[in-house]
Amino acid sequence: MMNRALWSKSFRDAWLLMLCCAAVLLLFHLLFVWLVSRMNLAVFEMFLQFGFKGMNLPNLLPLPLDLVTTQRGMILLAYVDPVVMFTITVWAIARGSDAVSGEIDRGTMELLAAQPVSRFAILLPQIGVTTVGAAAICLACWLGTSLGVRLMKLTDVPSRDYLPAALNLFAVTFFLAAFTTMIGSWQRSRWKTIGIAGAFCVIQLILKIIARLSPDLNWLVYTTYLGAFEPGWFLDEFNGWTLAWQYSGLLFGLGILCYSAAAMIFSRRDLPAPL
Amino acid sequence: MTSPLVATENLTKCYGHFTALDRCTLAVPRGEIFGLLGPNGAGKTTLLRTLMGFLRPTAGTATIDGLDCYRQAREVHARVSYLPGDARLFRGMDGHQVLRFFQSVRPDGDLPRALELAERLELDLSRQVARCSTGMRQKLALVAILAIKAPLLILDEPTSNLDPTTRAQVLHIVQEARQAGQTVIFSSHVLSEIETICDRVAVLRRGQLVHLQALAELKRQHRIEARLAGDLPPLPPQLAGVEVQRNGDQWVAFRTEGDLLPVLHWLSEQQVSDVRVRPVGLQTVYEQFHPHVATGAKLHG
Repeated sequence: MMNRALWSKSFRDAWLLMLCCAAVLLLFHLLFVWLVSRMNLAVFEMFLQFGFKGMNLPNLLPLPLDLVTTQRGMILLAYVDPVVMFTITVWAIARGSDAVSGEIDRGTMELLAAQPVSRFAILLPQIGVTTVGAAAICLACWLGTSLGVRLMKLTDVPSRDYLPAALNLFAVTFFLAAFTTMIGSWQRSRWKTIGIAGAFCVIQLILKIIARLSPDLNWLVYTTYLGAFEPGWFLDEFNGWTLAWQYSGLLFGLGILCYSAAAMIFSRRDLPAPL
Repeated sequence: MTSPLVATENLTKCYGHFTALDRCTLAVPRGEIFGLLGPNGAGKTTLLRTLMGFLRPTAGTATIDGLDCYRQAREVHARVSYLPGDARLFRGMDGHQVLRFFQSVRPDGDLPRALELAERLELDLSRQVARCSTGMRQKLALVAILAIKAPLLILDEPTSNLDPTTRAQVLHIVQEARQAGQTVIFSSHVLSEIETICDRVAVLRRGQLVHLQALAELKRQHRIEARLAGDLPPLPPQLAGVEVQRNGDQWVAFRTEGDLLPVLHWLSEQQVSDVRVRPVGLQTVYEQFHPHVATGAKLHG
């Protein structure tokens, strides 16, 4: 099960992308804190009050309205920023699509599967490295925030408040990687896996936007995994961690289900010859 | 008598309505080099991939060392070193890293032997796989696979993309493996290679095993072609086992196993203007089952 050669091969395949994603997000969060520290929040509050008059603004915002105009709340917006979402999606889909369909597509699965290890033992290092990488990338986000808070000397912003948001970010990355691995476990083309996983992300995002914008269709939030991605709700000092574990737990659970399905499919499927 | 190392019983693999392998039954005893012949699409690779447990058989069974190839794939793989027909290696690794990977991923790996083989094949191990030519990649894959001391070597077209010198060296290494007690299944399009190193050969056509031939038996068989001036008289009873084939108006071919003298003696009493004697050879056998394909240059070896 713990074949050292397979683990080091998986790490070798992933480390550069992991390093790039972690570095980008660390710097982005650092930059975000710096920008927030320079913002005039009083002007922003006026803008929110009068600029969007008549609109259902609280529903559009990823965090409670009273927090948006504080530095503590503004910093949290970085965790739902498109840059962050794009980067973690790149990591999750790149790694998830590589686990089975990537190896089959490149033709390297042929030699890997011929070794005296179970197919699960081939998949496990891929899952392990992807999960550790996702954790490292999300930790880099929090480190960026934490470093920014220290460097900008924002004394009334405790950096530990962003740990639940980082956990939720990790959970959503874990789920997306697991879902992509499951799709890839019965595909032979990596690009097809990427296409399906990408389309899934877009559809899920649209569902969440519709659920947010239309009170009548609010139930749609239960049909998208992004319904459990709400880092903005975890700033509450008392309920923050509880909520974060509930939402993240759901994503971890779904992710484990997807990985289990991937392992089952991969263990039983015919391995096609490389094209 | 020991049980065969590899055995298949009515092994069948279908893809939808297409039957890639059709009721294939064979047994490969230990210590033999067993050849697989057939044109593209004949079912050679499907047979090998089913033996490796990559494909679930539609019907029938395949066992290696008594273990079910699909259900006990992991245990089977511990007894097999497999070279795929189109071996693709990890592009980000260099030659050293590839050899280290394959020798450390399994308990019977032997890195010093891999390095020795690499030296014999004059392989540059410092080069990254992505920057190697197709032939160099094939050589690297061969070294990685041949260094493993598994009881069974399955080689799917191992000499494709290799230069003649390396090709001869690889055949020599395969023969050494047999001498060391390993069993080899050797799939190839090159008849001369099969003829040189194999003990037995199976000919596949459209997924079916159509012929099994012991090479030693084939080497004893000869074909005598004679141009007769008149009609062919009836053969005497002592030549009852001789196969006769008419080629054109005057030429008659006699296929005989073993002693040539009775046929030659009988021919000397006939009105013969020309006589040619040649070994039957694998090509003749192959042509019986693949008459059109055998005219291709590659199949002449």
